[in-house]
Amino acid sequence: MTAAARPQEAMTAAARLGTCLSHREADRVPFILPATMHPARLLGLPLSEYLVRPEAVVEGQLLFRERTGHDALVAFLHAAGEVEPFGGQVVLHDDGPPNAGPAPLRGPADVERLAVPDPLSSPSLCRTLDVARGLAAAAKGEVLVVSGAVAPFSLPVAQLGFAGWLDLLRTAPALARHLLEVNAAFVSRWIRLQHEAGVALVVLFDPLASPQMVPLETWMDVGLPALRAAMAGAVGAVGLSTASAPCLRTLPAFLGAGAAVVAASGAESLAVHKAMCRGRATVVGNLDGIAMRRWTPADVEREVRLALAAGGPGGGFVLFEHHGEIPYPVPMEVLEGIGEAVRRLGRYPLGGGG
Amino acid sequence: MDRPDAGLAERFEAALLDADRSGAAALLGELPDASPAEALELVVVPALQRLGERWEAGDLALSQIYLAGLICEELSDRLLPGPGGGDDGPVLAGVAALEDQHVLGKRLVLGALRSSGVEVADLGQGLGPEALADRAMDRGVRVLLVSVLMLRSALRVKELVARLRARGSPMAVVVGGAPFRLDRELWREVGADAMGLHAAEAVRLVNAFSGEVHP
Repeated sequence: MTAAARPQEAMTAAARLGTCLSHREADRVPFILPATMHPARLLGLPLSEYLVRPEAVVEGQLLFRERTGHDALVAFLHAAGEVEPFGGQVVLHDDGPPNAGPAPLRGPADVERLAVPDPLSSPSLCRTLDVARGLAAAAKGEVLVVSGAVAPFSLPVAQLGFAGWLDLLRTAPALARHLLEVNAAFVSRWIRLQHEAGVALVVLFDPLASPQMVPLETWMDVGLPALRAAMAGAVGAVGLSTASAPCLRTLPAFLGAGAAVVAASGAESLAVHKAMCRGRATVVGNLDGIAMRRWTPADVEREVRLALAAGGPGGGFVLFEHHGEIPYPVPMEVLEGIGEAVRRLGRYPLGGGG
Repeated sequence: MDRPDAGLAERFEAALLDADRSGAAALLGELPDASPAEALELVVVPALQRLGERWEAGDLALSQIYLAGLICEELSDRLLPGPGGGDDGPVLAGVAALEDQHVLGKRLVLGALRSSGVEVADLGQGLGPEALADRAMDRGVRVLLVSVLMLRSALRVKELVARLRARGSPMAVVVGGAPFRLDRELWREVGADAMGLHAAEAVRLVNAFSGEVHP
């Protein structure tokens, strides 16, 4: 259903999201569909062409919002681009998100020599800023622009390889700390550039902050300080996410770091996550994008209803996909269906049947 | 020989989690009547299996599983030195990361298989379906274990299987990685023969599909 066919809502998307981020109930529960690829399909463009044309991304995001009615515009292109300033490559595909190429840092010697690169040295990151500026101009304050970045402690997975990073942490802790200092400075600048380009909320993806990946005490010792350093220079809102990995045990540290928004994992109770965050941070989550590929209309209705019931009461909740990127195979009908369900079931006070 | 007492198994697991290489090796020395293969079968492989299950249950971190796997692989190399699939000849099993450059899952599976004495080849990473099918068939692999990180890569297993079957290969294809753990029916959807929830399951699955029995 296009915007023209939908009944006009009481609040703009920006006002709705702003009310929600203030832990108050707006006219309805906001929802954000982090679809970085679906707009290419709507425009009839190959993904490999779409992702290198900022003007196409702007047009596509506006069209996607027209089709789904979700409450933000997404400037984020792909996580692979974050390794470009470090000498990495982005490998584009037409059937899914880009891959990061081989790890650009080969070992301890490369880490020792590493200086903080300029995000503007990356073509991909420069395109993200062009998209952000274009979306902010088009939105005219009525819709917020959101984006993402990879957190300092998780970035080495692409810089060194996961095994290489684990080896460095264990065998050369001083070098690991140096890498984290470089990454914190880089991410801090990258967040700020995005805010200055018109992004209202940058979500930092830190999957290695999940106890499923490394022991929590390890992340608290070295990952958390780097995260705090990266967040310190932000001039807008920053959210934190473990990109669907379990995170309830990490949550107190995320809240202590001052996250405005924290993402919930589909593997854990959304209600528990919401209770822990109430009044301190807005919760986003926790729909499963991989499962969405096979959702029937009944599945859409059920999953939206469950999430709204668990997270919606009291405001401070945005319906979101828990990985942070909707898989390309998810049908547009499912995404449009999620929008229809939220508009019908998500009006406050909840439980009134819309 | 008799199964070792539960205390030895617990101490061995604790040594792995403490990254105590010498301690773990010493504990295997408490089985003086065991052959190397028996030590692997009775202590090392079950320990990796239990640690994998604990990770699956949320008790342990992946980094701990990785380190435990490294130690067990070192112990296995000491107990059973010799070629384990490193040359270019035919091998029972091959392990690869399809499309992705992320090799941790592949490393964990290789470690688990080598720790149990399975003849296994590292077929590489970042390969597309056609290149991986070629490489696996060239090595005469009978059980191909495919690790992926991203959903796009998981979906390309379908093409890999189709290419193998079109060439008349009966090679078993076993998959693993985050997309398959998150969607427990995905392995069927892409035409794989089985899925492993963690690296240590690779030993059981290779045994099942090869008809041979390794520790």
